[in-house]
Amino acid sequence: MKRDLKFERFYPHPPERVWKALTDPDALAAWYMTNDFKPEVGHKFTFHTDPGPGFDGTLNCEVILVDAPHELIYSFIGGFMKRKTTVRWLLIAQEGGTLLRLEHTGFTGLTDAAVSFIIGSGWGRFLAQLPPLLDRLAQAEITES
Amino acid sequence: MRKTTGQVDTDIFAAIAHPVRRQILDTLLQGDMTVTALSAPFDVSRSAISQHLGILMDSGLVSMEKRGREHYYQLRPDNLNEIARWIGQYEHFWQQKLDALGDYLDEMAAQDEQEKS
Repeated sequence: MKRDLKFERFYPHPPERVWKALTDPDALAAWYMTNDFKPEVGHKFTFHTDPGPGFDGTLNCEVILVDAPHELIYSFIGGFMKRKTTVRWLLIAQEGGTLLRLEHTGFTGLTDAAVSFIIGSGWGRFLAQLPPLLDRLAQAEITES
Repeated sequence: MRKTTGQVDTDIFAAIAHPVRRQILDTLLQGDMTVTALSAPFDVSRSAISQHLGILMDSGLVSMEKRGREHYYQLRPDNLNEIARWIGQYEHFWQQKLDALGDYLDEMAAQDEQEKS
């Protein structure tokens, strides 16, 4: 069962620049979220973003790993995430830029139940009514299994 | 009896977190049923099933209709769309942020260039 969110993007910029964008509080505030981040293991901080349904816009985080300019990991909890999830940024130097891999993992409990339930086989007939995302999730399930 | 969509809260997640309730929902996919019919496949008491049905009704995933002397339970799948939308928001959130990062990196590069010249 696929329960993690994984993304990959290539940016035509060196890892050092991407690293700065990911770890400098002012840079983070510009493109990501307002924050009191410090690239120090064990540092507890918050991200603030727009509130949404069931979400006050605050994410409580703690730095888990800092390996400049390769890897950054912090925990992430807020909204309907009932337990800590993990956000991992992996910077892979490539010809002419950086491949950035983002993994948002650790969804357990209710959220998992929701995801697995919706895309479970018994509910396949309702997929047509669901947003395109779920179709894609379901497709990913099929291709992965 | 039925909550409107858009009212989704943790209730709905709690509702589908329990395996018996998921099985009840799966069973209701086949059509409307009484609590007696719903209890049949389970090794739990009728009152336990009634309790599960109560939680499912609170979540808006199931509604009840009185037909003669019998109460029939039926599935209301619309609320699942709300869960789907929520999960979709996560993916949307990250895609949006990664776009913003790309733009920001371009700006950083342009600024570096300006400082050099």
